[in-house]
Amino acid sequence: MADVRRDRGQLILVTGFALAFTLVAVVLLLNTVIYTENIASRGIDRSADEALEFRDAAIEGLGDTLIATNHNRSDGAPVTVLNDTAKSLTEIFTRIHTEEGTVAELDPSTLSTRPGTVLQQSDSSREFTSEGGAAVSWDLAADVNATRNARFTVHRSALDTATHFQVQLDGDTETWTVHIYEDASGNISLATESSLLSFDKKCSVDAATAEIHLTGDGIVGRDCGDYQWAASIDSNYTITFINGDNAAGTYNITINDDGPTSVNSGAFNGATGSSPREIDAAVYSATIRVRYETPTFLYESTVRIAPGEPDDD
Amino acid sequence: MTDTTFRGDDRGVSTTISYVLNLTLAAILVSGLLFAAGSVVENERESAIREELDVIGQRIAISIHQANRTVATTPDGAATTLRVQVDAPTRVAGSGYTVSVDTSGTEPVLHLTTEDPEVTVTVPLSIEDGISAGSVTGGPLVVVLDGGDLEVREQ
Repeated sequence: MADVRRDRGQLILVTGFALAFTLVAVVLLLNTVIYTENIASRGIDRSADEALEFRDAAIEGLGDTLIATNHNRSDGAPVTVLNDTAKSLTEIFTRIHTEEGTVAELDPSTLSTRPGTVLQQSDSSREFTSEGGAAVSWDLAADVNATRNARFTVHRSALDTATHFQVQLDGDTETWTVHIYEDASGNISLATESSLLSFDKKCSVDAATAEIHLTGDGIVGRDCGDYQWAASIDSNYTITFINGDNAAGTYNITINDDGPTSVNSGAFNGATGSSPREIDAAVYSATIRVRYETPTFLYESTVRIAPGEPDDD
Repeated sequence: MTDTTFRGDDRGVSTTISYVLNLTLAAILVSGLLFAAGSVVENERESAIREELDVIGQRIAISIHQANRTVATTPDGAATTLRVQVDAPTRVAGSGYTVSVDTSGTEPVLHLTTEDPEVTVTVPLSIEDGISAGSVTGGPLVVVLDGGDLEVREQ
């Protein structure tokens, strides 16, 4: 009889155990959910943003260096200066990110440059005519495949309302022209015209002097709408100044010079230095490998540095 | 009619029937309890899986998004290496799962699927294109750039 009593309640015991296990299973599941919530609330890895920041800083830093070395050759050969800049940027970024195990690198051994030529006039009172005023309409360079940083500073007093100063790009099949002139209201104005599109005034400014970024957005500080350098040209082109006696000021144009490009050097003062008009070798663009690596992220690409170049080039 | 008298009184009682009735009732009760508890666990498990897949899917989508943005801002033609690591667990609530990129619709989406219980979670990727369709086993993943398109691979 005593044995029988000891066996009683087995079923309840087994059930109790089964239910206990079930409850443990539920607890474990809830634990999983808590872990998931924890993952969900974790911050996002910002490596991708930082990589893009590094790349943009590299493009901007090297771009500024490129402009500066083109402008002031006494700093040394552009390649050396660009290399130094690449090293400095690498050092700065590595220092910032070292504690996170990040490698931010611009590899100087991958730096390559393309030669260019700067065509410029620095005497702000001079007209845009060729050397010695020989021609009012003259070619600056032929077979140009890319132009960047074409900046003009023009004075209203020299502009004409009827005979416009024009910068013409003559391609294989099409011609694109930008007019810089004084409109009926006496404002310095910018207009474009091509063999496909009729004369279209883009913008104007009421000022005695205007700065115009032809390979950028047009008149600096004004909204020139859809203005775009060489919008309809898809071949190499000749750059021509037309009616150069109807504008005066300074200009600075950097053209790519590693192809068939030929600069009309006879129309310029040729030598560098104190001469009021200049033509000088320069770096048109540079490329360098950029690498950004964290334990969870790797980005490696080639960046191209050509400050002041039209977006579509 | 004292207790002692009742205890010894077997009249009108069949021991066998009483035992069987007891056992049956107990069995019904116990199996009802176990069944209810089991389905609670199963439901909890399914919702835990759903929630976890959703979170994992969102995190993979973020990595794909980051990779896509990085590629989009890189000029065409530049030889680019890109690898974004995603630390996803190999199992969700005890089940393995698969991650597949579906590009058949208007917008690419991620499907995360477990087989037992069968749960599928879909996460929209909010990118227009530039990702190849494919399926990988859930776990630590990488988003890489391959031939101009992003691809989700196992680590």
